[in-house]
Amino acid sequence: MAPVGASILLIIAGVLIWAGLEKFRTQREFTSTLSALGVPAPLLRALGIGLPSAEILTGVSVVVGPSAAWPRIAVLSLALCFGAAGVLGLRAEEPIKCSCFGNEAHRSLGWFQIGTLPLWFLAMVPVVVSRPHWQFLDSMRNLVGVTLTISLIRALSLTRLRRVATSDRHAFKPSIEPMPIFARVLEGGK
Amino acid sequence: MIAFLLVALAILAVLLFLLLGAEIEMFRSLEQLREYSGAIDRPTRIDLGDAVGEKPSHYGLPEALDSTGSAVIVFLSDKCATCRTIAGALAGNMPPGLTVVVDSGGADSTRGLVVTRGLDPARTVIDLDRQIMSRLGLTVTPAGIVIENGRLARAATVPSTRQLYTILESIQAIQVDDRQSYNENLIEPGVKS
Repeated sequence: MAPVGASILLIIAGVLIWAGLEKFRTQREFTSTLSALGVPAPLLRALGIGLPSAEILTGVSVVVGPSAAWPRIAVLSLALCFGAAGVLGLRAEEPIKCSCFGNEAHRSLGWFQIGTLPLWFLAMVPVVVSRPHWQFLDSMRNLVGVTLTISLIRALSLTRLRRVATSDRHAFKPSIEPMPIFARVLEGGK
Repeated sequence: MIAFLLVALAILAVLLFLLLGAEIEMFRSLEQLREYSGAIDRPTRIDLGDAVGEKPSHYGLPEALDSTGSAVIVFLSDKCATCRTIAGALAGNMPPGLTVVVDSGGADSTRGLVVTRGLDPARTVIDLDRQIMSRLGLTVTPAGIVIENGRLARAATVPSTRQLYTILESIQAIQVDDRQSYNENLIEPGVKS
């Protein structure tokens, strides 16, 4: 049970750190989502920085202090916020773009956030039961492992996109012959 | 000391994550620009309508195609840059099972048509005044039609030479040595030209 709880904590940490970093990277999209959710203008900037910071901090805390209670409470609080955003998204007149992971997912706020809310609580059960615990150096190693893993997953997506872009570039070989003046310059240089 | 190094490593991993995200964003923008400009190597299906299941000769295509098991007809135009690129790759090296139909653009002979240079005349058809293309409902070039059991089966745009060979391979009409010859002509990074 202990490895299960530990693995779940590391996955949760990875998800929260990824989501927080992406919200920072795509600030504009996230702010517009908050605005569409009805967040007052004076609070937009504060929440636009505060929420991703809370996600990253929670993700790091879950790894650094797995046995502490407050990181778990923070995880569940964030999950409730996501669920609330889903409810607001369903009630909105027009679909509100989800900026949970920046602009990666092309879905709207709604049933997905509500449906995953129970999963967050269920995921906490093995964590609470097994109470994973590790030393400070181990927690640092785990943090490095989590951040390197999410970077690796990113790198795999990048590899696929690069391959498609290269294929498209090579498929459209230019059919235009060089202008005569350039051919004369090349011949003179021999 | 070790803890400090681990923290530094974690920070570097985070920076790497952010940089990779920015690069992914660039590639996605490039993909979007390519889609808007039409320079994306992805065929689009063309609806042949009532022509599906009909004999090719009904539409002015060679009668020999009515009795062929499987073949590909590619429609090219002299005015189209991609068509010229495809014709250039086919010049002197037309794979078996391929017939080329050239939109003459109003010309009544092949003289002056760049696209026909080097093509096998026995398997090249000049479409005068776009009669064949009009009857098939084709409005874009390059386009490819697949023939199965002597009947028109399906059609799609042919955005590149590579896609043409993909269609040919799909009907298993291409010979292995012809494919190698095509690969030698294709310049790719890391591969000797």
